[in-house]
Amino acid sequence: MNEARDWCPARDVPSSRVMVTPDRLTALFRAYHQPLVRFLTRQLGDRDWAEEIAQETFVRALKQETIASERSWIFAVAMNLVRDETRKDARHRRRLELMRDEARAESVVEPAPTSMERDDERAMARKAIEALAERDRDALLMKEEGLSYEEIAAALELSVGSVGTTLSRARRRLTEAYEMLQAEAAGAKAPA
Amino acid sequence: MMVKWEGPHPDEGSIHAWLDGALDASEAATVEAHVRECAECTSRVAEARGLIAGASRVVGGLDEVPAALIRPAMTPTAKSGNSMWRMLRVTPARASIAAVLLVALGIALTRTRIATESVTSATSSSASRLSKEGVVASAPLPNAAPMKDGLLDSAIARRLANDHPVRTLEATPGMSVPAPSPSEVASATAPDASSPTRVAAAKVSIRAQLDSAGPPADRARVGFDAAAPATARRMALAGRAAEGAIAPFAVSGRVGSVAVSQPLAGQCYLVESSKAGAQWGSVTLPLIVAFDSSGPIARVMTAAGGETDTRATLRQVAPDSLVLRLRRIGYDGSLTLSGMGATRSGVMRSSQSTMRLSEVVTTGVSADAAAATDPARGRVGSDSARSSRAPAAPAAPAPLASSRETGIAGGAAAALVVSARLVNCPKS
Repeated sequence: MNEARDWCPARDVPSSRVMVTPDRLTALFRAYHQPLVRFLTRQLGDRDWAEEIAQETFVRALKQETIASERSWIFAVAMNLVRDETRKDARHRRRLELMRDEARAESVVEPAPTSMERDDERAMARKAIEALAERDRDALLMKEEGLSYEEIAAALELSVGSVGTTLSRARRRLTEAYEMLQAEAAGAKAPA
Repeated sequence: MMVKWEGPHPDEGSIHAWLDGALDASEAATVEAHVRECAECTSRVAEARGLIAGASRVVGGLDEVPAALIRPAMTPTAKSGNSMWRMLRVTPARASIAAVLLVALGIALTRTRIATESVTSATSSSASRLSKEGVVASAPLPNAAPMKDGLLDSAIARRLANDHPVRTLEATPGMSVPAPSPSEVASATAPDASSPTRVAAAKVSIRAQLDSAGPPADRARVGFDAAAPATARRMALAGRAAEGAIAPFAVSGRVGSVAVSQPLAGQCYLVESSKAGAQWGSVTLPLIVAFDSSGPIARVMTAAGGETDTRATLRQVAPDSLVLRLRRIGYDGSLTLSGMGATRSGVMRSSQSTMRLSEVVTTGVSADAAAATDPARGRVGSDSARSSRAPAAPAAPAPLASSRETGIAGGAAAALVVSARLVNCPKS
């Protein structure tokens, strides 16, 4: 049996410390894998890449003996991975992304008009989300995954008091950016 | 950790924290108590809610759905352009800002337009408008004062001969310049009020008001002397407004003439919404928009085929969109349908105009007088019973838009997602 370091009775996050046993990891995986992949997909715009990073995150969780505030930790680690990878290989990844998007656009998987609209919307949403500052984007996407203010603060190394401001700024900028894109698209489509 | 803010009003971050449920019990109670008392903060809270919901939607749009599967929640309701429109309505704040602009512009334009119209009786080219003025103004008024009318007519002719910006407004959505002759206009605008007696009766009553109204009416009539500064100002305002975007939906930003495209002429669309009791102007949905073959003016009828005095003019027809302007005394509104063919989806808006609109419609009579002589307004083109409904003219004179920076009398325009499908035109 592993020694439990700094073992405390489990409390609500943020300060619970739980040992990462295989069972625990399975539980973590079940609880957080899906939201993490969604979060990463929204961050990266690429589901495959998101899955990779999610995997890596959980592998790292295995290496921990204990995790304080599980959800914060998982998201924080995932985001660090994202930052590392993007810094390392930004251009390469972007190229891959573009190639993948092109391939998808050309593929005749779904002739239905709904999917094309969906892609248009997604492209616009991507552009809008990229208009945000990194911190604001991270905070917003975490909030959308249900992280609490404390968890977001822990993951992003912010004060809890500033999470609200960060989120309000993110939400406002995002909706503004999206509307501008909508307006541009409408202007482009309309007959002169 | 406590979230702190200065002064009585919570800052935006605290409002979001409150809405996100992140404030502790006492902080939350403080905010709630304050918001209840503070109108400004209430609207900021409403805006924040809108931003939260909107951002959530945009973020949801980032999700990649596996190719073989479309999640039901994400599926646009099978009508092209529908989800785009949902995304557009991102926040109530934006909607209300757009509404303010729409109404304010509509008011500014309509005031000027109506003021112009009430005088340009002989040459109302904007038959698309409130059919009453269209018909009444177009037909020459009874010859109680032929001399005045002669002067008036020549003044109008002079005015129209000039290349004045307001002429663009005259040419209004859906009508092509140059102005048709009065008789053409009369027949085009009163498809269902061809009864000459009704027209005559309306004319007489209007004339009576004109004569009895005294100075204000005279002012309205002779106001189109080129020297009249007030009118010139109004026209300049209209001109400026005409140059800018007329309405949020006018993507081209240009008031252009729109010919009815062949596919639309003679067709009828049933417009419905899932919201019970929804209205476009004063007509309750579902309603039928009936495109006449004679021009870009569509009649609006009840779903049962009953006549209303509401009209709709085509502002824009593109292969994938259709924009209609609501024509009803006292209301501004629009209907934008996207997609093509037999079923379309879109967004419908309408809001009440201010008192000044109906006031000027009754040719410069004051608000009180207008209310008193309501039955005599003689709305041509509808049953008199229906016309006495007096929908948008508030009994008490409402403050004008000019007296408040962003004042909206009658509330913000409500936007509504609607669907429209081709139906057989009702036999009228």
